[in-house]
Amino acid sequence: MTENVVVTVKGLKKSYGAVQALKGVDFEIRAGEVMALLGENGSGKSTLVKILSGLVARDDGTIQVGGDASELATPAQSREAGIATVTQEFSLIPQLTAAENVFLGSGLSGPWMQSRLQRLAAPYLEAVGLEEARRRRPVESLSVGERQLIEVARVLARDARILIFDEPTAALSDVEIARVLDLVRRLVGEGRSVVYVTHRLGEVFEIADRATVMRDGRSQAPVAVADLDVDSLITMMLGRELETIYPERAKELGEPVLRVAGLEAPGVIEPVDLTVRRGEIVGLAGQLGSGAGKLLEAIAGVHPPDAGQVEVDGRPLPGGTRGRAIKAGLAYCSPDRKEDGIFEFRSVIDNLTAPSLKAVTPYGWFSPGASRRMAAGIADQFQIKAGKLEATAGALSGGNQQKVALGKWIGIGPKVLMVEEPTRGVDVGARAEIYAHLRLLAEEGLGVVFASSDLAEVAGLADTVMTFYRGRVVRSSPAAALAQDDLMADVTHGGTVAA
Amino acid sequence: MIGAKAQGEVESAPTRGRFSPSAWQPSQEMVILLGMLILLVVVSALTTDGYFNSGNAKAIIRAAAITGTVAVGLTFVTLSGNLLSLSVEQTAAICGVLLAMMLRDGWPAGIALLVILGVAVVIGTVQGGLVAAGANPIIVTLGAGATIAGLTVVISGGHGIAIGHNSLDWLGSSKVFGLTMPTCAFIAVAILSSVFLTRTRQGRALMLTGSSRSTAIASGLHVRRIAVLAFVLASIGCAIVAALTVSQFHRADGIQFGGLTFDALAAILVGGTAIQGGEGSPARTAIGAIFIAALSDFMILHNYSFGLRMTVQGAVVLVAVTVFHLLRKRRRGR
Amino acid sequence: MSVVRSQLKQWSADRDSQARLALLAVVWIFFTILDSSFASSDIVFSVLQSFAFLALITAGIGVTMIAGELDLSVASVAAVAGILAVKMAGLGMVPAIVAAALIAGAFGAVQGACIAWLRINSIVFTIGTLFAMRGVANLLTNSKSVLLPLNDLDFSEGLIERIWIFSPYTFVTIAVCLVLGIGLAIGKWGREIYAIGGARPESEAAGVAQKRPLIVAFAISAFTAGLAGALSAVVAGSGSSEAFESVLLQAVTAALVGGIGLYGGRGRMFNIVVGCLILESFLAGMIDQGVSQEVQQLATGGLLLLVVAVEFLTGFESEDGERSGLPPALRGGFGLLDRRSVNGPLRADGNQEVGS
Repeated sequence: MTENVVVTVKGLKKSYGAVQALKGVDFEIRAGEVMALLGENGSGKSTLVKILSGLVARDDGTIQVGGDASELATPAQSREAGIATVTQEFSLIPQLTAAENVFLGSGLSGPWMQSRLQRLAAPYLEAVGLEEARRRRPVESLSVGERQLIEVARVLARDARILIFDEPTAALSDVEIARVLDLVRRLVGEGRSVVYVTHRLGEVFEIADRATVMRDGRSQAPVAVADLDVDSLITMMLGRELETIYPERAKELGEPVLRVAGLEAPGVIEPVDLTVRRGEIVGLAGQLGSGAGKLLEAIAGVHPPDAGQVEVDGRPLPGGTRGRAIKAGLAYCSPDRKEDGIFEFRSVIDNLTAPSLKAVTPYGWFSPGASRRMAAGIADQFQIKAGKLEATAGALSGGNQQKVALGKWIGIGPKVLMVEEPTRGVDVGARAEIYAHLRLLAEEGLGVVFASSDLAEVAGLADTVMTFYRGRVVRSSPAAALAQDDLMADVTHGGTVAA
Repeated sequence: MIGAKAQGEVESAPTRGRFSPSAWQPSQEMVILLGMLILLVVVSALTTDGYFNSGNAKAIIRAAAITGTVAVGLTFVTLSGNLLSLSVEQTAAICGVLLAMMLRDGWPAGIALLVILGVAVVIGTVQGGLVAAGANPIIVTLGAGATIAGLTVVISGGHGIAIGHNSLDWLGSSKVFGLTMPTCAFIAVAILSSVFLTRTRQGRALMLTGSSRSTAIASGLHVRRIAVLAFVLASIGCAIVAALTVSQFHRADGIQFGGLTFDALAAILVGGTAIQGGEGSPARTAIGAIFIAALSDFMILHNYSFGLRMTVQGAVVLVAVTVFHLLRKRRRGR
Repeated sequence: MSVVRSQLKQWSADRDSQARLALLAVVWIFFTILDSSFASSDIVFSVLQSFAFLALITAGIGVTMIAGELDLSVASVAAVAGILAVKMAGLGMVPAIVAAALIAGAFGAVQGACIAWLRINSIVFTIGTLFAMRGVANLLTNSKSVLLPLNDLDFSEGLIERIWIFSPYTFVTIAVCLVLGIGLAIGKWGREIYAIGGARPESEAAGVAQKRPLIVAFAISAFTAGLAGALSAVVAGSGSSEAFESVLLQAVTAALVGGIGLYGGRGRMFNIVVGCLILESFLAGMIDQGVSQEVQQLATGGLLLLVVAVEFLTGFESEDGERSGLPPALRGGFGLLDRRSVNGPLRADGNQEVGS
């Protein structure tokens, strides 16, 4: 194989405050190859991608593109270097057609007549495999998979030579996944390079030439995929320094407090049964698109489930609305606390007492004393370091913000606490505290369910684990009985190869 | 409550009384606003003879009273994240016309007032309901305003309604502590609204909803009911103003509140309430209204033409809006 | 010209446009049933005369709505332009009108630049300018009316001289709408306006300029308002600071009837024009039936609410089971109207931005 390396990264370092996301990473990719980039949460792979895309500045290390040293300090520079990233966060305008979106922001001169745009965009849309009939429709009427194709067409129109696909198939159907893989093959056939970031090992074996595995902020030397199998790949991915930050598991479990039977919802392909008992912490392990998070949303009433029953404390929960769920004692925290977990511009006190307004407004009249007491109590419990409780929630660190997002539910005396990604964007210290308090809450009699893509977290914190892959439950087992590589195999491959 | 283990070092001040200082910490905007007002007063005093007699101060507040009362009510709509209502002048007009007709026909004042209060509540509920269901507030209130205006003329037959002395005269002519009724109503409404916003459950829920609607929904707040409440409160402000005006001038016609909507909006904007919701207060709106009235007073005393006064008012709104916007951005670190 | 023809063909073939044209026909048929003499060239002429003014204003405010904003100052700008045109009559009528419109357009560009640069909400900003411009109008006229010199009144009459069902005024309007419509449809600046209106954060991610389309949109709305104000003032023979107070409601109604989405990123000039025709025909029909002006206003308001209801019931998908079409936390200060693509974008997962 000729060694025409197009991108070389050496000794890349990046720290966010006290945390080192990249501890000296090497990376390379050749022309005409698909390089899979693998790694768990916290491995640093998303930071690496961001640096290559020019979204984040590196602290140290060198980058060479096409043999020349490159700065890649801004997205524009990254584009100029021929690098393009296709992420989950789309940049398509829903009301415009595919052809229009391909050229948007590209500075195309001349009249932007639909017919002309269609003609000019045709080679790129052809290259990504978007059917002709679909090209004239507004993008909002196309499927997620088709929209992704248009994103790729757009970067092709800007002559990207190195494409980074970030979890491209997480939300796609089988047919659409096949299309994406075809597309990738075609792209490299033209001499381009593709960095394929994924957690789905099956796809790695289908499409990638080599694989770089990242672990704990460091990269391992790239390995030819032909020389690997699933087990060896899993072994390479495992082995993160196991932090002893998880509290002991429950010794005794109480009565079931949450019972879910036959639940179906968008993103949850097969009906799911789930039981949570008092004192139990159930961990749902799954990556993006696995359905774990969607399951929680459906139970919480964020999106009404398509089918199935939910029972809290033996009493059935009617109709999937949030209000009813909360009333029944189901507290839910979404993975995006900035969006709907905290009131960014209100004080910590206001945040912590928001779901419990009734309790701090006896007879409808607000009692600052009661409010402060409740907030102080919760802050104590969760070790929220907020200086003064009047501080604006948005000014807190990520960890403290997350504690606010979680802690605010204490006031309503919940029966079940459901969280998606409980420690996203939270440093190790705060994580340990959050785990400790989740365990405490369980001991006090709550049932706790959390969905997480961080496998170590699931394995360490939960009493019972359910693993998800592509919308289905793979297995359900007491955490003690589950080995790390079983977990990994489940969420990346739907089960052990040898099964 | 779940047992608390005393861990960590959270500073929680000992519980203070209801009116602890921390509860009344003025915001940056309030400080600026009061500062500007004081500055204006000082400049006015220095450049005008005889500025400082209590008559002038009362006159300013009286001038601000009608607009200010409506603006304070309207502030709830903005604070709750529902932008604004463009139908306040028409709401006031229809309440005024109905009130005048009832008084002319000899209805007891109490009943008449209750009726227009009910009408205001209905108007607010309908608009609030549409907005709560998802419609855009500007469009809804624009359409509602025109509809109400049309209804007003249909009801009144197209001409003004003059009324003689009636059971509501006291509202138009009495004075309390030497202050006219509109002034009293303005002060009372401003105080009550502030208290409502900060001290009642609904008020606090309203503020949270404006701060982040999605988080409010996630926390189990009834954001739709809050939208309805906000519009109802705005309408009630209009009804109050209608009663005050009709009782004072003994007449009602469909156009006597022309310009009120934008005047009220100007007061809100000068008061520094954020159009996005979640930041601001009825008290600031009241001061905004007073500021505009004081400015107007100053300009009249200095013989500024109507055109110049309006231009200056527009410029003040622009400056206020810009300054508060930039201030907010800096505070939020964006 | 072939560009024009192909665009017109494309527009009228669109289903939305056809539905609106059908609605227009229904309005006419309805009122003709009530009064057989309704469908006469006289009535059509007068409809087009009122339409001429409304369409210019609506076209402008519609462009800002497509961009996801709202220009509330159009009425005041029109008034100022009208006064300016009359005052500049000495330059010759056509130069005066054009100059007034251009001045208005320049003002609009400045306004758009301020809004873009400050990243401020356009409603809030244009409330300020609507006051300021109204004040300027009063300043310019000393709160009286300014009158057109007598010998220019011939021109005024010439503007509304009847040519079959049209007049020079309506020709100007049609020409301006045509140019705007084509520009919007095939110009890069047009697409940019749709982009920032349809999905502003996505447009930024796609690399679309964020300031330029705003400046263009507000320049257009002020220009067309200025043109409309200037023409109307000349036709009336006087410029007044009180003019055009009620134009906002009509323009917004016409824009909505014309299919400007409540949430930005949608709408075409052709449909705006048809929307204005529908509204004006509706009003003409009511006048013909002897309905009073107040009931007309009532009906216009009711029509607006009806359109809202229909658009709401047919188009809007809720995100979380709650029909929440309310304005979002206006991130970045742009945008007044909610933008929500039906299938929202997926968010990247697993980002460990520690310490953020």
